[in-house]
Amino acid sequence: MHLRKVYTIARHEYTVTVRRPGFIVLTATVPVLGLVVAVLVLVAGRGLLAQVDTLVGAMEKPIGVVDKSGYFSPVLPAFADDFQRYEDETEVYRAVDEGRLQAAIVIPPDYVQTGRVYVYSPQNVFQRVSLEDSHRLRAFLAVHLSRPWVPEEVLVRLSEPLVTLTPVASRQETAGPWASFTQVLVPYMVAILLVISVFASSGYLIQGLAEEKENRLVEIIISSVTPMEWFVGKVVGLGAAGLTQMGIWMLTSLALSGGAMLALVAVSPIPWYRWGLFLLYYALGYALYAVLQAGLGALGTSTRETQQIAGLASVVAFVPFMLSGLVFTVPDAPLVRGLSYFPLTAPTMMIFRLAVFSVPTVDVVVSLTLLVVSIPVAGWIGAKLFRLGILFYGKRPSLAEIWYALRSA
Amino acid sequence: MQPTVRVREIRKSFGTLQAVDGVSFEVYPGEIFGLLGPNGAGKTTTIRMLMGILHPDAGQVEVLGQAPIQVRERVGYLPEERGLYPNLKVLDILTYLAQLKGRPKAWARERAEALLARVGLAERAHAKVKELSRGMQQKVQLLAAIVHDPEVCVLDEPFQGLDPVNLQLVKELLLELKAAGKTIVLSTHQMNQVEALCSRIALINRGRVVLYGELARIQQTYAANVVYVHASSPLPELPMVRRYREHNGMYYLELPPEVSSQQLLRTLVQAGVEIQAFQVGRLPLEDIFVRVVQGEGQHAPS
Repeated sequence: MHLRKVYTIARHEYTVTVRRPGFIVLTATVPVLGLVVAVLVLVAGRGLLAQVDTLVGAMEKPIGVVDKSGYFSPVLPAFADDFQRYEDETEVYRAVDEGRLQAAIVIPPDYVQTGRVYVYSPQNVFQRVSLEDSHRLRAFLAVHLSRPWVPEEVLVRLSEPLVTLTPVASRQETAGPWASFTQVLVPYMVAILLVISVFASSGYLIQGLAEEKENRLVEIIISSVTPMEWFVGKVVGLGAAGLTQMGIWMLTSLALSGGAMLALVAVSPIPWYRWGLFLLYYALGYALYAVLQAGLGALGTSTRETQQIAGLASVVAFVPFMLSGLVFTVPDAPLVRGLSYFPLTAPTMMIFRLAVFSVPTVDVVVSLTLLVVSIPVAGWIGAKLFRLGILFYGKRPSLAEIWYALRSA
Repeated sequence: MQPTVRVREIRKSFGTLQAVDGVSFEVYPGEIFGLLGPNGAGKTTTIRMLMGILHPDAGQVEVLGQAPIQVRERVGYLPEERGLYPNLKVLDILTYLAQLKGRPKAWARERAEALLARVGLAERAHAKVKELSRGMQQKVQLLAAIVHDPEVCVLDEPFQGLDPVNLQLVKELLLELKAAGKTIVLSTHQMNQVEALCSRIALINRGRVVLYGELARIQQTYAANVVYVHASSPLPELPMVRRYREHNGMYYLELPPEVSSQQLLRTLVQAGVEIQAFQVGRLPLEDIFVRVVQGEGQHAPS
């Protein structure tokens, strides 16, 4: 294989693709949309933020209590910050109207029999509903009712029965409150990125593949280079174009999010070497799909047909998403392990597993080995299909012909 | 003299179809060789094997003394199925295709510019292909086959879609290549162009070579009993003539082997025909082609 020719083809494919109006428009979409959202947030969001501020501020104020049942006087010190006792309704309603209180509750004499509490609030229905659902209010009522029979320190604990929920596993001890969230979110993001890259690049691969076929340049090209040189050059050039687009999208997202994405990665409890593995799986997965799609894509007779055939391959990359429930609950299930070995699903599957669980080293080694081996194999098959596909003008090779081409290596 | 192209007993089948069935021929340095045949005769398959695009099931192809894929950079190819990148600039395409043939970019660009100037397209060098007329595109396609300065050119239907002016231009270009010592394999259905350009031909029919050798000799062989007569009065009934055609007073007469042209002349004079011209002629290649393909005669390869 002449590397100089491969380079010439890759460069040609890359420059032609990145200059396509479709590519430029699509690449610009993410930054432009991001900017539009940012501007919208800045302009329209200000008023919204102010409203949210008022609502949150109001909810931080205490609740006035008028106790006619006798169970709630005096208010226990554990609730003193949140509940203030008032003698009569007029006074408490005024305090609410003046904004000193979040709301007022009036507990009638028959409260123990009926469980009915009256509320006075200047805010909306939403706040009343949230008050009804408030654990703090329920605790206030329950703790005060049990006061005559329960010792003081138990009352204090009853007022807040659960302060922290600390996991036992040693590797999680240092993790902050964001840990679990990022642990699931981050692999999802990386895996989604992989699938999006595969889909986006397949578009360019297909366009690039169909181009010579539709424009009847096939024979001219293969009288100059071997199908393998052409194939590799195309995969590299068009793959690089896809990655360029992904890179631009990621950089813009980083810039527009003000580094929030980086912060997410920083607080993630995933150790650095696993990030290395993510990148490795991403790169290998991308290469495998690019090679396969190029081979399969060459069998199509038109852009549309090529798209359908190559699309089939990328659907497989979605399988681990469908099984993500299983992956996160039973990470060592035979099906999950099996799909971690199968090269087409290995990248996404392993990214999921590595993010959340300690994966047996053997799984990592086997899946990486199979993935690495599968790329030249897929390349060989891809190049055969490619060679077969490019010589068929306007007609799709039959399965028998495909089989014959693969056998006559 | 060592042949530039040597094809020996090549065979190729696709499923049950025997596309090429033992084709042999040789092409020598500096000649324009005509590879002819009706549609579906196996010409394109033969050419594809010559270019190393297809591998023969049996037989051997040598170009410049080696297997075709080993010398692909020294060979130029204008396939019948051809096109260009419609959205790319003419000069960029030619440069890219020459680079694929192993030429450095700067060299390729310079050569492409010179060739474009030669065919009157210098001003369109930076135009996109889709902005060119069909004839211009045809010329660019021909340039794509020779831009890397190959020693051997395989040209399948190079005159397709050309007006008479451009046709003449392309013919001149081919003769220039020949003069520069290039070997050209020319496949076309335009027999008059073959007669004008080729020194030797091979006619393929149903996957086999049915006629092969020097064009002049072939025409002599087939033209032994052809006579052109220009007469100002109609010809009488001539039972001795096997076949005849008339156009504007010019008669084309084919005689059976036992009748000589002298006998015909005598008969015409005796019949009082006013003869203005009488010429023992060559059978047009087109007629030889039709006759051979229709199975009226077969000439063993010489």
